[in-house]
Amino acid sequence: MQILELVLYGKNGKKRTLSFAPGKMNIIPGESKAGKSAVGDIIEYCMGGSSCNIAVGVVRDNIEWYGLLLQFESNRIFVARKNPDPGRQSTSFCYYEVGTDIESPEIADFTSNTNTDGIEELLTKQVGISENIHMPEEGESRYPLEANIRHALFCCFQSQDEVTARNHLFHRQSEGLPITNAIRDTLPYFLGAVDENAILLATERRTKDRELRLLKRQVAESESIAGAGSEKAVALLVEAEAVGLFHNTDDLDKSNFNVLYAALKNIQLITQRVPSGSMDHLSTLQTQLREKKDELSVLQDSISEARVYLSDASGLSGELSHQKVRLESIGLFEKLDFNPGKCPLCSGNLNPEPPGIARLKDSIRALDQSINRVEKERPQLRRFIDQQEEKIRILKDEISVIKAEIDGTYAQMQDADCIRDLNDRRAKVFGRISYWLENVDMMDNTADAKKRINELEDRIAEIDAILSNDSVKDRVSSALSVIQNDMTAWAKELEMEYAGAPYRLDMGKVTVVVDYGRPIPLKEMGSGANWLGSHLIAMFGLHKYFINNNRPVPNFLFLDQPSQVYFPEGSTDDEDMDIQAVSKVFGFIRERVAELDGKMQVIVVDHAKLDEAEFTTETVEDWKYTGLKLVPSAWYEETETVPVVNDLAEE
Amino acid sequence: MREWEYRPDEVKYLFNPAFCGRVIYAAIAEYQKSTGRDFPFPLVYLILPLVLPRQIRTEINSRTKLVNWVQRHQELVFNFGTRASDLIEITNEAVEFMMQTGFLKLTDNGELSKQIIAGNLSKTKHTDQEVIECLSKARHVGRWFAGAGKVETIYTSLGVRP
Repeated sequence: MQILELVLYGKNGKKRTLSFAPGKMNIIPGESKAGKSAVGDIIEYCMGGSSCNIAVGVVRDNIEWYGLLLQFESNRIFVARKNPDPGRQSTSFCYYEVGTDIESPEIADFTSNTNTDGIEELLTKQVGISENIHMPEEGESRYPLEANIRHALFCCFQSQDEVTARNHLFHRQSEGLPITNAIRDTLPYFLGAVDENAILLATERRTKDRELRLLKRQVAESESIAGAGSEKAVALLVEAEAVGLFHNTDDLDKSNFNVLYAALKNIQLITQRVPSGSMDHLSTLQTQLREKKDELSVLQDSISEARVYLSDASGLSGELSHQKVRLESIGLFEKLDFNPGKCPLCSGNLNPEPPGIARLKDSIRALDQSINRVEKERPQLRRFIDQQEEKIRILKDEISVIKAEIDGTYAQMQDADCIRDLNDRRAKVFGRISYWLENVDMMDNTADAKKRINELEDRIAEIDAILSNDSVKDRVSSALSVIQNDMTAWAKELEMEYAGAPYRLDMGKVTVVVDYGRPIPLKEMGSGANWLGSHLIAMFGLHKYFINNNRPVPNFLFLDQPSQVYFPEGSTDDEDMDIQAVSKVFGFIRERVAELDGKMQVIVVDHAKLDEAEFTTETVEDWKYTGLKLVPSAWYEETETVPVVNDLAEE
Repeated sequence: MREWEYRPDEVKYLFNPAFCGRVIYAAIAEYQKSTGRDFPFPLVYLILPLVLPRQIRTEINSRTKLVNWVQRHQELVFNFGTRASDLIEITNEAVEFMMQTGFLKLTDNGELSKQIIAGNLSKTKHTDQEVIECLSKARHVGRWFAGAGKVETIYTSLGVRP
């Protein structure tokens, strides 16, 4: 990915384009407050990130949208991001277009069609960053991290403060430990030390691991079921005999597995028939019993009265020979009203009393007079009682018979239960024998399973080797040693201190280290020139490696004021500048770009303006004492006076 | 006897004056037919205790003389007095009902006589076997009394007095 244009869309509706040449060095010389640093900030802002580092001032006050026209291998992308509202830190209104030959829009008549995350994802994918993951080591407290475009950008910017910093090497490393850790965690991916297929391999490993565990479990199960071979077989035969499925276990040769196996295989499940219908029969009997008992109680009632009568009668007379008793009164005198003038039937008043009524009463009275004293024969109930008692006896016999039959039926039902129970037990034992036989048969199949288990274990070990952090470390080492060669050679070119000694990137310390007697890190080196040199050789070393190994990293490098170390303390006057040294630096950059054959783009904004042919060719725009700036002065001289804010000094 | 509204349903339905009255009427009518004379009042209390109890009713047969029949069926009549006593109120109501409706009348001699002729039961409407049997046996009882002689004899042979 390289940058073709940086576009500003002013609040006044105008468009300002800054064009860059891909594959070359692009220089913008300019005095302070021309907007040099803003160029880098704007580029970074358009590529995502949650905050806007573009300094408050002319730029922020006059711009509506920032745009970048990016060139990828086979297409271009135009991204734009809205200027944050006054007083706001940032905005996530973004716009993008994709196409083979698109140009940046003339006016900002587009509206936001995506947000910051969307832009980051888009650029991540377009630059070629695949799915990846960095798993922290055991004991480290960081979360797993997936590298994206924002991480790639650590290598693409060196701001004014960064390009000569001694304590920090990478862009934004000054923000603190989290950034340093992020750099440390994601650089292996960008160096190609992490397998492109890491995610896929991790998934494959998981799947195979699951299959492995399943197979191992199955094999173990088969073995344990079939297990202990003969012992189990004998135990099963004993059980079979206990439920009557097998006989004469003693006669078998218990030491011969095949004999035992054959015996078990021959066992059949034989069940006894269960007698049916007992339940209905029982109901019928119980109904019959009930009826007989009802009959019995009726009979018994009929003779109890008679008995009572007999015993009462004999009791009254006291003498058994006295066979006569008085007539029983039916109570007419109590129940009829014999008063004169009263109706005998209803006790109503009769006035006068009809003759019939009077005669009625008379007839009853006469009757009574007549038979009052008559005695009657004691009723001969004994024969009746005997007859009834005979009937009762027969009935009781019948009842006994029925009861016996009911008991018999219950017994039969219990037997049926026992039989059912035995059948159940036989079925259960038979089932277990079948299961055992199945698994013994399966024993042959475990050979296949075991082979598969070995295959899986081998593949999993293979994957582990590829994915292991150790192997990643090795590959990182290998990459860094390639870079080291370049860095060492270039250190000589730049005539840095300790030239000749190995200069390398140390990912543990995340800085440049030179092995001169002992490892000397960047911050222990002296002189700004060395720091600048270290930054340059490191950045170019990485970019060369990225390009040669086709790594998904944007192929541009933004440098802000590399010449600053060659101005004496506090001065920016051209006369004071060490022209030779600066020229050397620019020459160095030029050569590196040329070596990479158009694959790398460098954008340098600087105070220095050299009077060299190449310098002039490479100058994109000259903002040094030409009145030309990032934001055309015409734009803000048209608008209302902007409240004066403290401009950040560029020194 | 309670007021009509307060009687239990079984009592209302089984011992209702219309049915019992019709039974009594049947006996009286048969008696009059056999003897040509009016029915002595005291005998009216002996009809229902003979006809209504099923055990007794089924054995009734007027071909046998009452006295002999009693001798042969002592187990059925040894407690006849109690039964008759229990049925007095119902008998009174039934007789009153029949007199009110005109089917029976009380003569000046204090005897009962049929007045309006009651029709036979419809063979299609009234098919309950028990009802048919009750009326039939009531007629038997009428014949019994007719052939048994004096009221005193009938009372004593059944072992009861007023």
